[in-house]
Amino acid sequence: MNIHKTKAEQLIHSAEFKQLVTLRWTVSIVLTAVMVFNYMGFLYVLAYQKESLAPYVTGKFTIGLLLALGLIVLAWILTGIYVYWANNVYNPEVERLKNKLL
Amino acid sequence: MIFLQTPPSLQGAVSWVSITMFLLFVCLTLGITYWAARKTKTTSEFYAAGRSISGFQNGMALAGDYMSAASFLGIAGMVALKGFDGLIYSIGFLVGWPLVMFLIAEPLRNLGKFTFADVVAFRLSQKPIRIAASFGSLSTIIFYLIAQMVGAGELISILFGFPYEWAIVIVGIMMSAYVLFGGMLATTWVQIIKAFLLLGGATILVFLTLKQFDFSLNNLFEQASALYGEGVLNPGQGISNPWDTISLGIALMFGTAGLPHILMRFYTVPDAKEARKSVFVATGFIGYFYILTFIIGFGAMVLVGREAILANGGNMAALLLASHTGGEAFLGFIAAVAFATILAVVAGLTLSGASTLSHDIYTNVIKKGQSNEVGEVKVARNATLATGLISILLGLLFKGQNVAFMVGLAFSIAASANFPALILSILWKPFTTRGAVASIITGTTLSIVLIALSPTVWVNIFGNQEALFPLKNPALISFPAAFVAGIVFSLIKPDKEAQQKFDDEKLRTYLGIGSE
Repeated sequence: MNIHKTKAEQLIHSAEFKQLVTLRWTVSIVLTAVMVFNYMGFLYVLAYQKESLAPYVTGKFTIGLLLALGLIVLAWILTGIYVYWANNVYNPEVERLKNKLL
Repeated sequence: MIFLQTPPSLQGAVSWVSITMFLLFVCLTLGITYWAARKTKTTSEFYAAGRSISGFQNGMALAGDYMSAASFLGIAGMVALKGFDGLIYSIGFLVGWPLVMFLIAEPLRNLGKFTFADVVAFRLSQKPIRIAASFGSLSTIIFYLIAQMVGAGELISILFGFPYEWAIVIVGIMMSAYVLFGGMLATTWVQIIKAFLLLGGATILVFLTLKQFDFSLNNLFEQASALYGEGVLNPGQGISNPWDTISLGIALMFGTAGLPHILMRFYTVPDAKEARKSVFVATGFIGYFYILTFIIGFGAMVLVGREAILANGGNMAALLLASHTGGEAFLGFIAAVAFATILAVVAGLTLSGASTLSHDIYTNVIKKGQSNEVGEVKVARNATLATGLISILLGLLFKGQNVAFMVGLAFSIAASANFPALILSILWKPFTTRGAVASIITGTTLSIVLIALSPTVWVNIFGNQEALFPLKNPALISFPAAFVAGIVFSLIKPDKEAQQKFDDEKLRTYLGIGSE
């Protein structure tokens, strides 16, 4: 029990664990910022410069409509990126660190 | 209120097909409840389906929990009447989901047991946190429930021809039955079936609609703008106060990550990996669903026409379109889907309310964490009955009232009371018990007080001349205020023990060691 505890404490204070935690939040916060920035930016333009969203890009599709659909697609892409990263980078590292405790 | 002037066309046509469809749904879901009841004996089975739901299934159930009849009928109606602007709401409801994934889902799953208060209370003092968190949770759930129940009563009385009171009682009994006997397992499957029916029904409706425009969205938009002017394709026509839009945007975006009935769903999957997978699936389905409602709105605008939609109160656009494109049988099908949609959402809310009462208040405050398994499941069932009864009473009490603002209020409380406390407890080491309590109380009370003083309530409902608070949604103020309160009160009196525990819990937060 005692040995296990020291191992756990060592792991918590190890550089590789700290790095993993920092990396995890860097990825999360960058992706969050991209989502928030784009959505808030869209609302800002909508509120203050709505004329700029009115021109047609193709047929009857306005810039505003394409941007709105773009936000939905962006939400899909960002969640996809996160899942891909978490499954292929984060989780293997989690497993490796967990094995160190055994 | 808005549904009063319904021409008989929509009312009579629905009856027998929709009632048959509805009875099929009832039989199927009660069968599932019977099956689930035999597997629901422990607390972990009652609150979290024994953590046996897969990521994909939970993603479907999350979508089923989130896609309410209000968004299906309300947003389609709004698009039909206002054009593009209806889409702005949909996007707000969607963009909260990536945030749930990036910031909340995995730490929540690893640290908690049944409710989000588990996470906030993890390294802080149980009693004050549980009480404060229950205040935030129950406020969110009650306002959300009132909006859903009143909407359900009105919708069902139109579709099926029952009196409003009957509709409320039927919904109340059904949802309580699912939760009472089948716990989270039955609730999950009701939500999965509902998500499947709703997405399927909306897809068929869009297919039938686009068929009339040679499967070209461009043709649809062309006819819409020819009938009602280019304005329908242009964004921002209905925006009067830009700050209103931004405030609502904050509430929708961060509120999703603070809805107790959504957060609770993450405990039904076995681990953090399945938790994030479920958000990916949910985001996919919900985004797809909002694109469908947008097309349905435009389809109704062109094929049904605004006059007929307005004559039906504005919220029936999707149903009128179903009748127009698929005839009586299809209308009956969509009406039954709308009923199923309501049941799944209120069942999720009921379970979440019951778990707050029994797990947070009874077990962790009154019994100080010392209750036994059998006792807690019994209490959870009693709490379900209480929540069901309260919802029926609230549904009857608010009959005919304007409750549209309550969804926005629920999102504002979720964003300002639940989300800041949750994210600060996960991310910020110096967070203390006092800080958490201050943050939750500030977020909840500011949301409620400011909405009472806002144009929607102070002017439209209380009939005063001028609003004391200019914005329709309080999140612009209450969201940052909750963070400030949490941070200031934590810094005034630091808590060394909580900081030590923050380091200790890290292996559980990030590696999932010791998770339940």
